[in-house]
This record gives sequence, C-alpha cells and structure tokens, in this order.
Amino acid sequence: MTKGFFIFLFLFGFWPSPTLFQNHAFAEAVFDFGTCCDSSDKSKVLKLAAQAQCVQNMKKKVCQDITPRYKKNCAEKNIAADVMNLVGGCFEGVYNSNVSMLKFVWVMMKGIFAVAFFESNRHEAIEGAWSFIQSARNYLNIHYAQANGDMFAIANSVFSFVYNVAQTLLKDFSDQYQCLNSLGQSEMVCNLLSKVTIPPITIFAIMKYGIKGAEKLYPAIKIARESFVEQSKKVLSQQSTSGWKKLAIQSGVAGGASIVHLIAKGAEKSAMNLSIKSTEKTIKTVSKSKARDEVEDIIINNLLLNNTKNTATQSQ
Amino acid sequence: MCKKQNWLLVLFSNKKLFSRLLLFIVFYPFFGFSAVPEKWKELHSYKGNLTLSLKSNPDVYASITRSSGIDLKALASNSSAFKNLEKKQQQMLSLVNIRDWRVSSHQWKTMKDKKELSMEGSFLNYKDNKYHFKELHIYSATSVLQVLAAAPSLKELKLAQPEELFQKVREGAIKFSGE
Repeated sequence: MTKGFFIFLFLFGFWPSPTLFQNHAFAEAVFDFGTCCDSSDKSKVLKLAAQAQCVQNMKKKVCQDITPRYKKNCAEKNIAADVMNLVGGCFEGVYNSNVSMLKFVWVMMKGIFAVAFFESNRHEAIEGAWSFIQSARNYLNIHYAQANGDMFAIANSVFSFVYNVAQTLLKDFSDQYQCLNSLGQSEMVCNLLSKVTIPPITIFAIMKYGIKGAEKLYPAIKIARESFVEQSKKVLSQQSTSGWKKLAIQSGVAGGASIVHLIAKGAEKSAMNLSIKSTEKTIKTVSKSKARDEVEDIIINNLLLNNTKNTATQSQ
Repeated sequence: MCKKQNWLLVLFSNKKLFSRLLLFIVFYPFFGFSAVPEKWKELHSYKGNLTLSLKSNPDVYASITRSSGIDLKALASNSSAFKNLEKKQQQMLSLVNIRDWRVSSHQWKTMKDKKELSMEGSFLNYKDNKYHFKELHIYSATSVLQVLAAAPSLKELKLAQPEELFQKVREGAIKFSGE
C-alpha cells in the first residue's frame, strides 16, 4: 500500500510542495523511512524523480538559450563522460607544450599538497618541510622523462582531481550547468580550466574552505593580493620586464583577484558567471603564453605563505 | 717596445699558438661551468630544473632543481622530524603515481652557512618498476639545491657515480637554463 502510494505520487507529480518534489534526497529519505521496497523498486522511483527534476530544470529560463547540441535530453540516459579523455583534451589545448604542462602539474601538486596534507600551524615547521618536499619536483622530472612526456600516464590523479573540483565549482555556481548534456558539461569545465587561468587560487580556495566557507579565506586572499600587486609593481618597474610579462601580471592580478574576491564575498551566482566571462576577456591575450606558469607560481606561493601567516596569527 | 713587438711577432707567426689562443678567448665564458657534466646527457631543462640521463646507460636518471633559500633554523635534523618529512614526501609523490618511497639511510651535515642532507632509498615508479635513488639537498639562505640520481639497480646506481655529479653541484658548476 505504502509503496504504491509513493510510486503514484512520483509518477503523477501529485506532491504537496514543488520544492520537496525537486529534492532527490527527500525521495531517498522517504524510502528509507518506508523500508517497504526492494532495491529495484527504489531505483525506479529515484530515476523517475531525477527525470522529473530534470524536466523541471529544463523549463527554467537559463536552460532555454542553450545550443541544442549541448542541451540535456531528460529522456536519454546520461552517459558518463570519460574524464581522462576530457581532461586530456582540456589541458592539451591550454598547455600547449609539455614543459608548461610539467610546470602546471607541479603547481597543482603544490596546491593539493598545501591544502590536503599540511597540518602544522608552525611557520618554521611548514617552511622546513616545504623546502624538503620541493625535491618531489626531481621525481616528477625523471618520471616525465621515463614516460616520454606522457603527462597523463603519470599525473592522472592530479588531473582528475582538478577536473572534479572544477566540476563541483561549476555545479554550484553555474545555473546553466544542470541544463547541459555530458558534452556541454565537459566543454564548460574545460572552459573554466582554460579561460580562468588562475586555477590554483580559485580551486584551492574552494577546496580548503568549501564554497560557503570561502569567505574565511578572504583575509588571506586580501593579503596575498596586496603583496602580489606590490610584487607586480616591482616587476613592472624593472626595465628588463618584457611586454608579455607585464600583460600577464596585470591580467593575473585583475582576473584572479576579481574571481576570488567574488567567491570570498559570497557573491551572487550570476555575478560569478559574469566574472568568468569578464576574466575570459582579460586573460585571453595571454592564455597560451609562457607567462601564465610564472604568474601561477607567484600566486600559489603567495597563497601558501599568507595562508600560513594567517593560520599562525589565528592560533596565537 | 722592441720586446713587445717581438712577443706579438711570435704570436702571429705561430699559427698553432694563435689558433689555440683564439679558441681560448672564444670559449672562455663556457670554461668551468659546462651546462651538462660529461658523463650525462641533457633530457630536458627549464628554469631551475635540469634532467639528465647517463650516456652509457639511459635507464639511469638524474635531476637537479634549484629553488629559493631558506632560514636554516627551520630545518630540524632530529629523527622524528625526518620521519615526518618522509611521510609528507610519500604523500606528495603519491600524487604522481610514485609509490613505496622509502629512505634506507640519511645523514645531515651542518656547515657554517649551509646544511646538507644526503639520502639513499628506493621507490616504485608509475609502471611499478623498482628504482634505487641517492639524493643530495644543499640548504642555504640564498638557495636550495636538490639533486636526485635514480637507477633500476643498486649496481647501476653505483656505476653511475652520482657523487661526482653531487660534487659538481656543490661547486656550483652546473648551469641551469633560463638563468
């Protein structure tokens, strides 16, 4: 009786609240509570709930403007994308030489390490350990030589990690993401990774504190930004600074800081989308230049250093 | 004046001596700090990084990196601190599919303005092949130099004589690209 009743509700949308109807987790809770149904029935109902949610989403205005090629079809089974192939495609386009890919992997390794493995608050302990761990770069260099430059053979965990974080970021920040099929979603993720050229600073901010808690990072980012701007001014004042470097630093400061500023301040979703668009414009000119590696390196180092200082101040 | 003229005359009349002198002048800037030590072949290099393989055995690799200096007080040389560093390095290397990184022996050497750490051990690469390694880290306030030599067997590692390379790094005889 209970089983039939809930299936009826899901099938015909006869639900008291549309908000609850859209909530997938609610469906799960109901069936846990019911403990009436076998697993195949449960999965059927969940599938129907997900499909109904998809149809609801697709009716939203934000989904209407999407190119048919990228539009999700709720009736079709959503084929899971081959993450590694997509990541390969994304990064190969962005990092057009193996050496810059190697540098990128190193920056990501540093970032992942900094947010995932460091527990100490003591600045000396961090500085000492950090210096020691830099030797991992030697292993990466040798590894890269052994694999004949095939970065995906050796760094797939780094790439899928970055890709998954970027996907999470988009799911939460972009209204359009839910209207896209797997092709559209992967292109959007690639777009984020390639056009927002400061992935470490945005991705690691989210990773460390979560999207909602990102404002905790704001003081550190503020210091990082200020010191980065100071550093940039110094570099810019040097006569030897070439044009591309100047441009990269200016773009890096503008793009990276504006995005992190928006995240940190808990900006509106639309503002986030807007900032990605404006950053695309700003960064486009240097998207494939050697300068990006340097800019990323400076930013991640600033972020690490200032995170450390920030943690140390908090613990005092 | 007369003596000086004689000296120049000798120089210009002796073709062999003259050509040697010319070669010396042209190549003078490169003497003493060859980019790659003789036994090794450069595989790739970028700012502060140099990767080499042994000419006689391409399965033997070496890599040298140079990063910014450190306050030597930040380096604790006791064994519990080292255990912690070893654990952190294992975590870091696992990100690029290097597993089972173990240090069988290590030694700290403290000098007036720098600290040296030498290590030996083994690891499994991304194809699960075992490699033996020797590392040298030179920490100072101005720079941190880290050298790694790795070979599939201890015998091959010994034959490669990584100490020679380590010595060149100590002497500052390695030239990095982009510098």
